[in-house]
Amino acid sequence: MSDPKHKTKENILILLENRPETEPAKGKRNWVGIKTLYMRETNRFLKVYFQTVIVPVITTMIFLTIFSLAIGRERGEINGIPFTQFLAPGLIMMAILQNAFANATSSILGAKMQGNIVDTLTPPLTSHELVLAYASGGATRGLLVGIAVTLSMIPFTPLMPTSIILILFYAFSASYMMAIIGVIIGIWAEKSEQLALITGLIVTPLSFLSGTFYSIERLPQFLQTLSMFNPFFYAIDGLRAGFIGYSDSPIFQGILVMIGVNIILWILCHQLIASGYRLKE
Amino acid sequence: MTSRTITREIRPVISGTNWQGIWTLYTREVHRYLKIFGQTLLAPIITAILFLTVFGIVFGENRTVGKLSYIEFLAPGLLMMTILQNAFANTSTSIISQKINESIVDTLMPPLSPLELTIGFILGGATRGLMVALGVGLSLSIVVPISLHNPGAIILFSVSAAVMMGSMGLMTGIWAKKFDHVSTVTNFIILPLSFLSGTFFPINRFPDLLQVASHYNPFFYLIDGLRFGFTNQSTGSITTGVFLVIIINILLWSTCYWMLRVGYKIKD
Repeated sequence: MSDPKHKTKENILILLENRPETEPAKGKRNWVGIKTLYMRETNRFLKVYFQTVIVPVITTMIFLTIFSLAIGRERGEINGIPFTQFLAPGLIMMAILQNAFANATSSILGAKMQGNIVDTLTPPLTSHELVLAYASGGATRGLLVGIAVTLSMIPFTPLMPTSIILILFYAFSASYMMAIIGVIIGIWAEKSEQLALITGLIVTPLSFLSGTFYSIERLPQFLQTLSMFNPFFYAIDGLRAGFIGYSDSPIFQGILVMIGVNIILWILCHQLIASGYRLKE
Repeated sequence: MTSRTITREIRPVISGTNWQGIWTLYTREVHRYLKIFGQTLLAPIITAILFLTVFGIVFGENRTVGKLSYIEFLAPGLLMMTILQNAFANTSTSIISQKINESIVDTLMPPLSPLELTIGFILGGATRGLMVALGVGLSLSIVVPISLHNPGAIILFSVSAAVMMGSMGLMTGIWAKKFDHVSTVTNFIILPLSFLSGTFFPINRFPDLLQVASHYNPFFYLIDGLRFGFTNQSTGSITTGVFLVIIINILLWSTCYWMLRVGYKIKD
């Protein structure tokens, strides 16, 4: 009888010889792998579409209702724009930001806690490919919620896009920004309570206070200056510019900030995954 | 015949109320949420502060509601909203997660009568609602001048709101089969009602039809009553509010008692 240990080793060697070649070094990307992980990430939230898509739509609609009722018959205007029209793009962006963030965090942390993150790390996917697939999954959720919110608002507020290109650019760049932050936080977090704290203490306050509900001209000078360093502010401001043509900051500056932030976050996230920080320890 | 007598002999006979059992269930319910205080206490406090900030910035300047500045009007509404949402969340999630983990039997086995179970669960939920509200009240009082105009009304309305939502959460938890069911009730009924019953603005801003409907909405009376306790200003009738809230509480408690007695969806 042959030694079973020896046989296992032989089998592994045969497996290794016959594994599919991906050769990322030669510029070949594992597109099948990226697509598979992306589909997994997307199906994960679509399976519980009620909590991940419908509930955010309802929350946003409640906000719109409260504010339109509260502003009431006075018909307040911000720089000549009716208040609800000013508010709607802000609410859409808020929904995008919060939901794009939520997807990857809960996915990665869930996998870590159940100990099956290894099933995602073992397949031949490089860290760039992992970032791309995870971030795209989160961005898809953000964009889907954004579209659903927009469609359900149309009967109540006139939403006429002034620049489709700006809307698309900001919707995409904001979703990817939050999705990548979500991946980073998901890797960093060790308990679901840490996630709740980050969401409650950082993501929700920033998405609330970065000009969603008001023009930052209302803020004290100090906070106005601070807003110029807040990417959430540019995301909200830019989407609003796409819808109503009014923005608090120069559009060109916003575009540069969004691209820059995305690149920095991507590199950071890639480095984290490549180093195996809290994933392979 | 024989088996019956044997059962009688081994069953512990507790005459009167099982106070120790109620206390144990109550502390279990309270510890359950205190263990994750970041989500259950801190997060709702921050949400309330955020609402105050945003609404203060948007509507704060020279806007008044009756004799009050907008912020003074808003603060009691936010307090009540917090009580409503958190008291409900505690009982509903506690029961549904026990049902899903199949550990509900550990709560049903001990010698607790249906009434004792009802009391233990509801008081646990009410404690969370009131504790969060206390936290919110203390943090808001830094920014907003809060005066206790009528402490009796404040206590009456906050406690009855907390136990009312505790019992609604209990009923929802018992009825639900999945987490989705609980979040449906939370998002389609509890959230909209707690947001739209006069928390953020006086109901005279509503279209006429909804104004009439508001006078049958217990959430409206709770918010209005608490606001009366803090500011001496109310939209509806306080007496009607007190009666309505007491009647609703009796109805809800009886329903909870009945559900636990017949074992609706938990002993099937």
